Amino acid sequence: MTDPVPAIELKNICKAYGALRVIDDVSLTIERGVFITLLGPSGCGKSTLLRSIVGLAEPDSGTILVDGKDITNAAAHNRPVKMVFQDYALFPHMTVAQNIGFGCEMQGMEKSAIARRSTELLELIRLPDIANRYPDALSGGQRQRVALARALAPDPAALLLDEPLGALDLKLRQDMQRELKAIQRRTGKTFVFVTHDQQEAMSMSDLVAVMNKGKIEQLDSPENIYANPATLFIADFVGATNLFEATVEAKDGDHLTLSVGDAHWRVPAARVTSHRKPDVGEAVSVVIRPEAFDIGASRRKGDIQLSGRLTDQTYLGDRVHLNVETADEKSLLVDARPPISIGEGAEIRLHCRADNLAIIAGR
Amino acid sequence: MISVAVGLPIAFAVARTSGVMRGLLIALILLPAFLPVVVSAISLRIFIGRIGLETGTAAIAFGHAVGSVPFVVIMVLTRLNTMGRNMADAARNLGADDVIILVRIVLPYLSPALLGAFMFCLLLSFEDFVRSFFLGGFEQTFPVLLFARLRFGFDPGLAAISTLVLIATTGFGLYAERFVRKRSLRSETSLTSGAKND
Ligand SMILES: Nc1ncnc2c1ncn2[C@@H]1O[C@H](COP(=O)(O)OP(=O)(O)OP(=O)(O)O)[C@@H](O)[C@H]1O
Ligand SMILES: [Mg+2]
Repeated sequence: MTDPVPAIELKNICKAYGALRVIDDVSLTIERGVFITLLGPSGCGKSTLLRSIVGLAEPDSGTILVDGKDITNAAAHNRPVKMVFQDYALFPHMTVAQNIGFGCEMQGMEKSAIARRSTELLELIRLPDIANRYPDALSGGQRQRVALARALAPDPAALLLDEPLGALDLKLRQDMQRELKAIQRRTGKTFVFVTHDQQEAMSMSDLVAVMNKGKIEQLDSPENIYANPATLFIADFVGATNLFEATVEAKDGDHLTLSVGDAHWRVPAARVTSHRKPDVGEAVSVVIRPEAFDIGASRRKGDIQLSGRLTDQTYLGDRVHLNVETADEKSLLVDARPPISIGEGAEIRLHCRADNLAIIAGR
Repeated sequence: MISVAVGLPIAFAVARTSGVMRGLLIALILLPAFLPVVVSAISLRIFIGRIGLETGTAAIAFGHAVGSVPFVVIMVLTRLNTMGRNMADAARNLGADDVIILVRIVLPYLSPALLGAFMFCLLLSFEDFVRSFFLGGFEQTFPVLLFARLRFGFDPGLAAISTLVLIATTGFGLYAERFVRKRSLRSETSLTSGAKND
């Protein structure tokens, strides 16, 4: 189904500012028509990577291909990939129509064709009546959509969006997430979206590339990123996490026995989600998501059993967030379904399926 | 002697203007004016003495340039700061090279500031007789003493004259403000029609 020639191919991109390696040997293949998100904390190099692709930053080494063509050394104004900036960067002395038409104008398109294209895009962003307004006279959400239309107008090989929703308030942000996704579907364009908001990344993307310190640590579907984190950083960064320090005691067939404090957990070896598989005696981390826990003792064989004292509960309507302190003073987050008939301060038992966790080599 | 010292800077200011502004300034020349803002003039005078520049027209030109350039820089910079560093990048990304970015994005964006700065400098030059006075050709005596004597000598008329100057410059400033507003609007509309016609 996907085109054999990828929209964007990055090969071994490196970029350093002084001693700081902002992009550290990044290779990434982005197929056509995909909505991919670069997710990572502030300063991990997301913007620098996008700016490298459009030529606004110059990588120290590596190759960039767009539609199979090497554009590593092409001038920034000649690259077929367009970008949407966080502050929109609309031209305030031009009308909305002129803003949207600017890219086509630069391509030498005829006036009448530019006008037609502008109208077409204004319809796509569902703002057909604002053509002659100036950016000053638009709301934040409207500016955002005009910036999107401006970048789409010259029919780019791919669209790069650098935290385009960062400046919007929560409600508008959620509307725009849906809108962006719909526009991506309708146009079939390749979208490379950048955010440090993991929920945004999860809800919008076909693929998520999690970045940390200039490296892509995992490229996967949102479901896999959440359920099968490849690194401790990802487990911690994406979603809420309970982390247990453990040691591999034994390996038998397709199971591992882990010693966790005083307890021994027998877990499927297939639940090792890190690239490196741990040996016997090696330290590992066990990731259990808050919603993986069920309340009460389990009669199912092989389940992991825990107990502690309920210290705090937050009622959220359809869910209850519990804080449980175990005997060894570990604080657990538990996401349960109401009603919970246990009072704060009381003893509480928890269990979790042995395959509903992730094991990552190292600590 | 005083009239010469006063006439020179005005001539200089007029020389820097053109068109409408020249007419306005010439009308204002009729008002002999003083503003007791002397400190910068004195220090400039000392500075010019140090670097060995003769007092006179050259010194006045120098003094005014020194006095105006910071204002121009500040006004243009203020405008540039509001521009956001991504605007030129966005234009480049959309296919504009350096020349097009300058002509189509940066200059239109700065035009109100450039125009404003220009007018502001005119105002400044006109108002700033004191500096001109000092730079223009008093003997190199003790500047502080000079300052005191100057104020003493003109005391009776000073208040009235300053008021006149204040009114005149405020009027001029307001006019300039309106003019700049109109211009920046016009430049926007001319860009619109330009884009549609050519
Ligand atoms: N022009 C520059 N000169 C020096 N250092 C820079 C430059 N641009 C970026 N950096 C540094 O490179 C690192 C990565 O920056 P980048 O803007 O790519 O991060 P980011 O992932 O986009 O972060 P954010 O989520 O905050 O936008 C940061 O530590 C930043 O300080
Ligand atoms: Mg960034």
